[in-house]
Amino acid sequence: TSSYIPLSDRGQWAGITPIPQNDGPNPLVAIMYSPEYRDAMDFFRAVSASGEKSERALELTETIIRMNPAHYTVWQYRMAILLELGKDLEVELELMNEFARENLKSYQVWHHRLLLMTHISPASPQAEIDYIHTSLLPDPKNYHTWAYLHWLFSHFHTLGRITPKMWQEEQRWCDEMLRVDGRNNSAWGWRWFLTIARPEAGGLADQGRGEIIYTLKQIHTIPHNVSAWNYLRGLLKHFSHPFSPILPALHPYLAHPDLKSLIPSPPSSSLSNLPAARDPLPGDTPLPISHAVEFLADTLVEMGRLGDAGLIFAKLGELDRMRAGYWEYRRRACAD
Amino acid sequence: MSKILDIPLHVSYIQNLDKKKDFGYHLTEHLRLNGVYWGLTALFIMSREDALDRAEMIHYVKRCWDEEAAGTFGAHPGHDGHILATLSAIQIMAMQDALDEVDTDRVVQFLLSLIRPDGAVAGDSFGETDTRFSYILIQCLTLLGRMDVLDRDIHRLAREAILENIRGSMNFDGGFGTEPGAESHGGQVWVCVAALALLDRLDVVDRDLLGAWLSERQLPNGGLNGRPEKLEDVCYSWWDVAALSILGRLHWINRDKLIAFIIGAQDLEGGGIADRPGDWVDVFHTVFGLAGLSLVGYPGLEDIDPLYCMPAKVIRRMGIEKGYTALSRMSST
Repeated sequence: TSSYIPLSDRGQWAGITPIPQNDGPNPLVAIMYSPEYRDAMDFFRAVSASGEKSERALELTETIIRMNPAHYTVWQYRMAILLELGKDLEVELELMNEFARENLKSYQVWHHRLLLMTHISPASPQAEIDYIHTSLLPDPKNYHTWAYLHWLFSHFHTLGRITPKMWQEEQRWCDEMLRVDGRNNSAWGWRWFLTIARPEAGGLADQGRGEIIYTLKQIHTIPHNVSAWNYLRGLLKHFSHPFSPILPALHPYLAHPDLKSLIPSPPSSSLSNLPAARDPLPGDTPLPISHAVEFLADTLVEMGRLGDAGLIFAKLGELDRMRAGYWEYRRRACAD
Repeated sequence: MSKILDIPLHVSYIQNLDKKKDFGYHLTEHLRLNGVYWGLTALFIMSREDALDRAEMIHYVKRCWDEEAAGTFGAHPGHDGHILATLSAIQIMAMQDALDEVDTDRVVQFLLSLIRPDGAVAGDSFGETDTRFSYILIQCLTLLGRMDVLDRDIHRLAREAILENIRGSMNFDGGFGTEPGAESHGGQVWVCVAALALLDRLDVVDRDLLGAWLSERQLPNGGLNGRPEKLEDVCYSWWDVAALSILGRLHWINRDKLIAFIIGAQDLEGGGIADRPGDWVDVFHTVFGLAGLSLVGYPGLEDIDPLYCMPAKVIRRMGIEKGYTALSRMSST
């Protein structure tokens, strides 16, 4: 038998009549509860019906959300109590840190954190930034965490509390995340925001050349990294650069007898003379790299060599059979 | 030995959902109304919408009405109104042909109250915004036949603001995130593409770029993921695939391998479909697995509309169908 003591037997809840769940006479979705959860919810219903905003009500909301972190009604009520009682929100933030340590996750935990930071409104959000960086270590692709990081910088930037140094530090941190795992797609997205998309990114004076060089280095480290290839394409589109000047840098990934005769020599441009990859690829790298072959095909299209491009798309249909439908679409577009 | 889709088993799985006496059930109370929508939609796909009592269901939906706080639907009786529950309620009532029993004016007021000046849409007064909610708002208004409110003088800016917020959520890879600046994600791609389609603004999308990104979600095991370098999951069989259908590029994924992946994720003892073969089933993955199978033409299933994730016959009945491509229904084996 459980050693659980019902709330009604505890002195602090004297004088409150709990309201049990009424699922109706013939419930379509009848619910069976554990005694603890049922007890807590019965008292919560009474408390929220009367609008009681007290310490014991606050404690009750914590009990419930520890058992069910996604119960949004209870989260809302908790926030209302915190504000009504003028509770120390930094203490509440520390409680949220504890939730995270205990792996209690939900949309609501993150939104609650967002609301807390909005109310606390510290002069500098550095401590929170550091906390988020740390929380990403065991879970580096958590979508909620990255979205929250974006909110944090955007919100406090609007308040004028993100210094240029903080932006630089964040870029260094993002660089390190990508050094540790070049396949972290979230980190690539964050890099785009920091370097190009955010309002004061500065409009890179070198027309993206530095970013292109960085991306090519990443590709050389992990040639089959689709995030890096998407980023490269994004750069070229954003800065309206042609594909062809990049091609010489991609020769190592196109090493295959079938392709040799189809690789063009592009005209020179502002993007010519990109540094060549220094180290040879590992001996067991499966070649050619399909993303490089696709890039070659797009370059040929750009140069108006549709016949050759069509041949490359046909080869891609063999290389990457899963996407045969897509390659056939591209091949047919060249033939027409 | 290749498996097939065990429809009778999945029907009884759904019928038995509320009879399981397990701890996990109460923990999903905040999703209960969503769960009913998932179950009902799954039944429609299997031509067994009769398997749950219509009157009981309508009665339950009405008991989810949050009169006091919001004037809309919550996830379960006693839960605060929220846009997620509101959509499920409207969808259920539409499928049950009982929309006349919904207080449309109150729901419309609730929805309009969620639109922020920058065009982001909140889920409730708590304030969390997400492009999912933008899509839900548009879908609700469409199902209720009240999209005209976005064109009224005082709300005219709302349509443009919502559109710009969705457009602003588009990334360099052609995909969409929860808000401007957030990473592209299969689920967000679907809701943004569907929202744009309902707004007749698919011109915002680079179809080839996004189609290529979506087709790249398919992994060697036939399943799809939601972002590069993440695990496959049956729910992306819906989100990624429905987006491709709306974009007219459904043939850019390998149908046979996807079918094999979803079929392999069935629980052939108790019924239901899991996120991937071998895992525990739930009604969420069951409906999205079935919907994905339907969209790529698996035999013996009813058509599903990818803009709404609702039975195509219901959407046609309501006269709100818009363009999309599905793969032709294969003849039964």
